[in-house]
Amino acid sequence: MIKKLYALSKFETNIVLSDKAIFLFTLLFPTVYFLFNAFTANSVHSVRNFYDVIPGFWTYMVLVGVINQITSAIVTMRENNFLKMFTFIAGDKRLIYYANLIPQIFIIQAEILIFDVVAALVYRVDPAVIEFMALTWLANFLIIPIVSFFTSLILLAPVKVQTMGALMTGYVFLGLALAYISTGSFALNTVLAAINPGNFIIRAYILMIPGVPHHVSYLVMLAVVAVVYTIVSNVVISHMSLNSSTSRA
Amino acid sequence: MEITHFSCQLPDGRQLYDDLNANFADDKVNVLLGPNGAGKTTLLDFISTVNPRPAENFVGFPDFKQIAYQLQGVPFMAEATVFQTFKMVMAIENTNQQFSIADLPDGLTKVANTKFGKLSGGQKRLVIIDIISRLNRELYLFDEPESGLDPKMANRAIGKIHELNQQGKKVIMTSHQFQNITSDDYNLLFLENGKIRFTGTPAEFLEDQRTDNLVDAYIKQDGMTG
Repeated sequence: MIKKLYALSKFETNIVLSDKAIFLFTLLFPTVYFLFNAFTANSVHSVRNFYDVIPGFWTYMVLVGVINQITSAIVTMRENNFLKMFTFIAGDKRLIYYANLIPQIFIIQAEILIFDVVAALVYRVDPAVIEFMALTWLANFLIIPIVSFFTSLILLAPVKVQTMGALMTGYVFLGLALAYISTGSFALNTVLAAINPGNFIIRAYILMIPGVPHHVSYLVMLAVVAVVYTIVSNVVISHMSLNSSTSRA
Repeated sequence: MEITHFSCQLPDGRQLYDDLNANFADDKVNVLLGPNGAGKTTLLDFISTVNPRPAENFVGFPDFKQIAYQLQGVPFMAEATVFQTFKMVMAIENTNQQFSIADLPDGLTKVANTKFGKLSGGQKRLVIIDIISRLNRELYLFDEPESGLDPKMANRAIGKIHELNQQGKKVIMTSHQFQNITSDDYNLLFLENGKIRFTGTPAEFLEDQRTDNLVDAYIKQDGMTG
């Protein structure tokens, strides 16, 4: 199993790295937007401002990276019948999903690292902020697969490639627009984190901001949401259709 | 392997299979014949479990992990080279041996570093057939393996499929070509209007249709029910 996953991941990595366009949406666009804002009038480069602004960029990078490079990629593979062909070669469709996920975790992390260097230079960050950046970056090794599991529910729907772009744009827009929403109710906040991966990511990052009181209940809530999605996602991936919604093999 | 009393209706209401019964010979290459749209590919999808396979109708077929399936459209990663693709498959098959360009089959060494998307349709099919043949499975399904191949390459592809059967593997393929399936090593199954209308060797098919040409026999059979 591990050998198969290694062989497939290596194959996927070679393919993915041959297409440099992937860095456009996930790295270039947010970095340019960040720099544009950073050097326009009235922008404040304080530590407080860093904690308010930068997690939003990370959330965008994780969400867009996962949706474009993992979830949409699997749907596209299904629609052009690669998924069916690949699954017969690998013997298990979960292997195809994980072989796609693993290289993408490292690619998204590399993109965030480059973005972090730019952000650190602009904000001239102090050691406490660097520690925060390091912590969140390491946490991303868990957050990225969990967000991927969130979005894997889409794989159950017979979504066509043509409608996938519009659907995913809407998903990212809503996910980001509602990412910072928080209420006084723990139950409502749990629902928000459970239905919106953007909200889940922001809550996870906020837990790591130095000086912010750490509510164990929120940590437990995020862990429970993560475990539920991990379990549900594996069931979804095992049962997703190999058949294209639009064309026969 | 046999299919018994299998019926299936398509979402558009068309009856694709109507109490279909089919017997597949383990020691022969089973060739599903029939007109376009008869349901040959869909039947392979049921056998392969891509479509849910009812256990009460499909008897003696191995499970998913023991099936290799060459799809009709030969889909594969356009960005991967032929060599990268073979190397990945060999690694998955856990052969524990170093795979080099020299290990590629004849005719593919010169396109070893060509991306899959840049190959011709026939070359893509050859690559896929070769890959599928290298997988170690109980049952092999080939959907129109000779489609788009020149006569020499088609002969080679059928030779590979025949070789698998000679090694004791079970094989089912669909085909619209007859020049390579003339010996008694083939078991023909003619699918039309939801049923298997004929099962037997090419010689029996010729006898059944009172002709000495398989294309004529096919047309006659097609005319009987179509």
